Amino acid sequence: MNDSDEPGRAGKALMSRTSVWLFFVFFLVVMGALTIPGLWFANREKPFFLGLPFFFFWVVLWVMISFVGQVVLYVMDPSNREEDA
Amino acid sequence: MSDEIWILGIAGAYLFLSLVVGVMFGRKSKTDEAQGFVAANRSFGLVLMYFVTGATIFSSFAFLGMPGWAYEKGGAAFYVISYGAVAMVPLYFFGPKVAKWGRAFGYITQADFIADRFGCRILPGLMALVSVLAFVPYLVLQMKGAGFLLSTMTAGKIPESVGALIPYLIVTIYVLIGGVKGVGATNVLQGIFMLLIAWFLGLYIPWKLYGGVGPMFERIVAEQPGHMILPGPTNREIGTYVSDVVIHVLGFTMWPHLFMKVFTSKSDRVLKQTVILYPTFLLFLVPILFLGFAGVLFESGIESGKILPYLVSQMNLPVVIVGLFCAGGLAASMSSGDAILHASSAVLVRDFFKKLFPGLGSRTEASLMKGFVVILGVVSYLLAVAVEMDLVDLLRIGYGGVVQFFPLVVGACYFPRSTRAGALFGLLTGILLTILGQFDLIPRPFSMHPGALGLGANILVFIVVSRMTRPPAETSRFFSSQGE
Repeated sequence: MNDSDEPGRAGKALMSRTSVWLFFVFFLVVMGALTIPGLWFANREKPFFLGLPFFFFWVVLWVMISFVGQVVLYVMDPSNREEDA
Repeated sequence: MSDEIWILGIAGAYLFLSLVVGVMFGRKSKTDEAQGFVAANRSFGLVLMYFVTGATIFSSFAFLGMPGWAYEKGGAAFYVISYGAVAMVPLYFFGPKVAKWGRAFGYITQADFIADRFGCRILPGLMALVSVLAFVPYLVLQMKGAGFLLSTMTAGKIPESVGALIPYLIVTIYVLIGGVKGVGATNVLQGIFMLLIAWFLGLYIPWKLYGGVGPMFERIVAEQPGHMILPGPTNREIGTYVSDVVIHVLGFTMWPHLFMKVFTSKSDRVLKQTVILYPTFLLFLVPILFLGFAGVLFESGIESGKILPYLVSQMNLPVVIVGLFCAGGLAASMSSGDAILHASSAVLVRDFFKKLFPGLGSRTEASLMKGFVVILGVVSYLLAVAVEMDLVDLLRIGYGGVVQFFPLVVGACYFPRSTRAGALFGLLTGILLTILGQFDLIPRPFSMHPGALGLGANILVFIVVSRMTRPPAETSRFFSSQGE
């Protein structure tokens, strides 16, 4: 840490660190949904969604959630905005 | 004019296009020095990164093995999509760190970084050996896949040995000329090609056989209840499934050929964007699974790895589509094979020989790497032709070995207190237990993946030994600056 840091930068660093933690928590949530405990609930054939048996649908659904969630978290992270500018 | 000519013509056109793209884009790359050959002087943008990470993973296993799993093991096949959903995420965390140190200290391989961070020359050598031992069966599997495909689709007119040879001659040429740039450029072509063909066939075949994807699954569930869920027809336990997913998520980014792409990326932004876009690549696997499931009620008792070529050849598809399918399968094989061939030679020279003989110049290093591209290519080819063994099992051990790098990377990035002795003993313990577990010499609770057992012990030993020893004196240069 540097004494000459303006408060704005420190605040940004904190937000950035929060974003990393959020990303990590999100990662655990998706993992949980696709393994334990998610499987206890999702390991079933019916009902069908979009023509897929439930377990298959569940897996595809979480791939989508994983993608959308990661994009949202990435865009929210302030440290991804300044670089390359 | 017979059908085979058409099929071969289309596959040949694809092969020629791969060669042209690989050579044209790779030619400008400065491959006479190690930095250029291995990391393309850190120049990859998002498109190249996206396809190089995506296409690399979708291998012969994805094209032939996955439908086989869907056909034979049912719901257990979903583990691939499940781990894929988050498999790149670890890179989001440590990727930018490692890339930054890579720029500062000149790393181009995974073990470069580990060796420097822990001040140890044994670790990279050990990692290189584990990697190459994991790589060779992987490469042999790709070659066998290509040979099998060409031979089946031409009704044996092209023998498997020739079918494996021609695509891999082309791979060798563009890897030698273009280095990682050649690999990247062809992977863009191969990736797009595979996606289109997979979706086309994945929708077309269920429609032709069952009148659509929905009706197909309704019939499977009605006629073979239990196929679409765990434990499925082969009684795969949930414990095995879950630990498979976990081991693959942790191990995925540890594969040296994937990890070292961190050093090819132009910027941290590109690296992170590659990670978050990765799940979209999985959409390629969904139709591939449809194809495997399409076989379930169609015909029983086919050897699982052969279900997809069997379906395609049985369905009287227009010959152009069969040719495109064949080309798609070759693309799947080559897009992984090229990266593995390239990375294994780079790893062997950089992490094994260069650490033994640190005086090696950058040009000699690059020449040696190219030499090993040829040697490893020839060795793998001979194995592919000569040896009949269960490569999928070897690959599973390989994953168990590679996932043992995970604690090293995490320790190196986040725990200044981790030490050389801790890393070394952790890695050795992990590898030993994985091997013992694989051959059932020690009990495995919940039928878990042997690598999971090794990983647990690895982490424990790493922490305990690290606490008892001192970190290398130069550790501070990794952690003191800017407090980032």
